[in-house]
Amino acid sequence: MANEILRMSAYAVALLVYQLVAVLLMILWLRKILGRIQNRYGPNRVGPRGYAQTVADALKLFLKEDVIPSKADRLAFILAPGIVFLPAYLVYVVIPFGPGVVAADLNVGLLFISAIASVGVIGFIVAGWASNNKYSLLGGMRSAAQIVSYEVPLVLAMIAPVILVGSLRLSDIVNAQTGWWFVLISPIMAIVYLTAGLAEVNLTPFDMVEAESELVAGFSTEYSGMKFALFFLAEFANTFTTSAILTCLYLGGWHLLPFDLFGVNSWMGGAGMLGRLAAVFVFLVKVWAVVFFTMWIRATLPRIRVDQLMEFGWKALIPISLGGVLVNGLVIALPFSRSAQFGMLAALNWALLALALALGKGKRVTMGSPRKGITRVTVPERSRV
Amino acid sequence: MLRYLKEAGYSLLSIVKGLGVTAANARRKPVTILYPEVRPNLAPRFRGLPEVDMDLCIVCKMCEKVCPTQCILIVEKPRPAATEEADPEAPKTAKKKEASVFDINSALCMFCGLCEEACPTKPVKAIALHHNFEVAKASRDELVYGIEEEKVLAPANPPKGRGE
Repeated sequence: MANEILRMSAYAVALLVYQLVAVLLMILWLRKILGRIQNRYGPNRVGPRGYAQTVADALKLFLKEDVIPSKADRLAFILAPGIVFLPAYLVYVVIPFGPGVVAADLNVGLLFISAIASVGVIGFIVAGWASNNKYSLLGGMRSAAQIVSYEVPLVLAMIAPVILVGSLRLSDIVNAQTGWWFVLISPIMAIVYLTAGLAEVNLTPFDMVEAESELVAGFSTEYSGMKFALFFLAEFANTFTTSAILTCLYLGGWHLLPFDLFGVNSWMGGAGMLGRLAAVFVFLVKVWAVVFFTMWIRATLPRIRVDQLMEFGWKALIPISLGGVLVNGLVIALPFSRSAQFGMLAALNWALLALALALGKGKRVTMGSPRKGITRVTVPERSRV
Repeated sequence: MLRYLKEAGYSLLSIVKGLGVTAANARRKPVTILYPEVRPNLAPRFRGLPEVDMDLCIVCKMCEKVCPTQCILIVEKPRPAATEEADPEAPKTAKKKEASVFDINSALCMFCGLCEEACPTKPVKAIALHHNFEVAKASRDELVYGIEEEKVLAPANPPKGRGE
């Protein structure tokens, strides 16, 4: 028992330290990558090659005066950053970094993740309400609406691999991908998960919460100092979490190759110390690659409007993910061997994807063509007097 | 159903295309320069602070008159008649007038270049806008450049122009 407590405390400390370091690095890399994509250098002044920039920023936030608006609901205002940050930290508990390298390998891992992660929304609403500021409240409400909406396709996209494996335990799902990564079997659901995940952690193009042109800074408008830092910490920690879950569910977790070539994947999943270290390394590289992809997306796509956001979530993502879950369930219920079922699913998925891409490629976009039912009035040229 | 697929495929392709554009830009060299270390590459006709060559200046005060913000102040030096006779070997091309004060207030100057246009000295203008753009100073008084300096507006760093 004492041993177990010691192990858990060690994990708790290690995860907290890892999270803080990861967030500092993530913010730095985000700024550098965005800079390079926008043809500039990004931070390069503080420390060697600018690597102390985020540390300096964090120190600045520590030293800043912590302002609480006089009309704010003090208790709620102070609690909100904690409510947002705590779930972001708790979710790390079930992420399997490697075979056996997990704080608590719960048999309801995915359920735990979706349950805990949605607590963060409450923090957004509390922050928006407690600030006593219309922009904060609007930002909080928007983020709540967005996260609740995108929770549905996100969870459905989580369920798809669960149906394939038959377990909610994340390490079981990763082990089931020793043969084939699930992204090869159901690429469509992987795309849905990535999209919904971006919306879930308020990343561009779904970063309505911080649409500064409309809402100042959303729910965090009135926050400063460490409380503000906690919101940002949670946001970037959530980015890592979503990428990690995507890696576990679809990108084969710690398995190096997309299929078990020369038994490499089996070796990494084994109990050997070297294999385990390699597995952790591969997992982290994959997660950071996904994080990089989200940054890339962030540099590419513009923010969508709030009604487009809702429309996309409810009219596009939810039907697709529902259909995916249905198809997965049906195929698994068919009386074939597991590999035959996977093969059928993969064929179906790739065929659909290829069809969509082929159709999309042929689509003609005519700018400014008149819609049906709209009569165009030609404005006469202004006559010269 | 097909329309739905078409839209989805089109969106995916558009996103991939966009990602390609950003990736291509990420590989490009940044257009910004590391300024204090790397000097900017200024255009030949870049208009920096006006600088005056007092050897060329004939103190005609054309620049003072034309300046829209009246940032130039010139006071003519009273000619000591005696010295001219005392120094017969002075070349005939010697200037007839000299300025005792030639101040340019860079807080007022708007870099329009009218002074340079108005300057009648040939072939080289006595007052001209060179490449000095580093005009920030710690106090207001330092923004007024006077005649005490070697040239009226000899800046601390001579115009280099070309990026290093």
